[in-house]
Amino acid sequence: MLPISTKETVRYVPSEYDSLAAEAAVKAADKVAKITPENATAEERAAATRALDAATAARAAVEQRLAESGGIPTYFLAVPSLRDRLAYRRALAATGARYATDAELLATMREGVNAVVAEDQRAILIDILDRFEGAPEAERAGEIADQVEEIGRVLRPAFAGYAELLADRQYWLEMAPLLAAQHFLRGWENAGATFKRTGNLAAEDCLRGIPERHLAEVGWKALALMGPPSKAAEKN
Amino acid sequence: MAVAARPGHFEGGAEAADGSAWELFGERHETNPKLLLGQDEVEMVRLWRLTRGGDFGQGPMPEAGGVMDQAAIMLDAFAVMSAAEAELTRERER
Repeated sequence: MLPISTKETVRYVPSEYDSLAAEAAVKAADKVAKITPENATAEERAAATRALDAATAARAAVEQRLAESGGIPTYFLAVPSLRDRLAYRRALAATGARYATDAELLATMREGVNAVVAEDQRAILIDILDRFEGAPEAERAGEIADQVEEIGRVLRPAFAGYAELLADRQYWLEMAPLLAAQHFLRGWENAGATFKRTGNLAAEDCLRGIPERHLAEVGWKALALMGPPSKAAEKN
Repeated sequence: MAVAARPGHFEGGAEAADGSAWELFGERHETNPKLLLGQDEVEMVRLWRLTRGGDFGQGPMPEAGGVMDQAAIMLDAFAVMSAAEAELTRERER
């Protein structure tokens, strides 16, 4: 993607029409299936086969969609300058959106455990949260992640502070890409509605005319063009 | 960055002649990292060097106008490259 200039307009094709990405996914899954060793467990071999089947089916779906479509929906995005990024961040802050970090969520979960869980159970749960937080990011998966998820499920209805933080994060995850699309979309083709701008932004009524899933993807692409991905963007 | 700063460390083929590996920014590379580089990476290093200028101050920016007119992502990338260079310098001084 780099080097890149603010004079360029980036073309973006939504993933459901992206045949190159679908082909790359099949090749990657095929490679994994081929290198799965002879002595791998039956479960591992079955998982590799399932992944390849899923990628192949997804590629077929993309090909069918392309054959049936009158034209490939393509969105045109501006490359944000430093000035544009500052204006975008100001606008995002003005919506009240904030991204609650994992560290904030875990700290609030500890508060919640101490507030609503029976005293004899607290130490076990706090230990799970400590081990999860202390683990490298790549190892925050499997059983320990399931346990933390379960603690979260218990706390959501019982501890308002945790539920509010989650709501903050969800709001940011929806607002940030939507606003980025509004700021940086410069046009589209084969997307249904007619593109128009109000002031410096893509008009809200024309954005309502394109598929919601496209809008979200386009917004995340605009965010990616703004700088290295944040933790939030990486997770999406 | 490392390949540009210390080209001599990456001469030769895909594997180190003495059977060792390349250690860069805390990561071990069994295959010569030079082979991962494409034209875009080479171009980024060239642009980064231009913007750094010399002893007499900042060099030209890639785009017309001032800092605020530059692509934000390019400025972020240059900052990462400068940090990498500083780390390489610290390593050399140790």
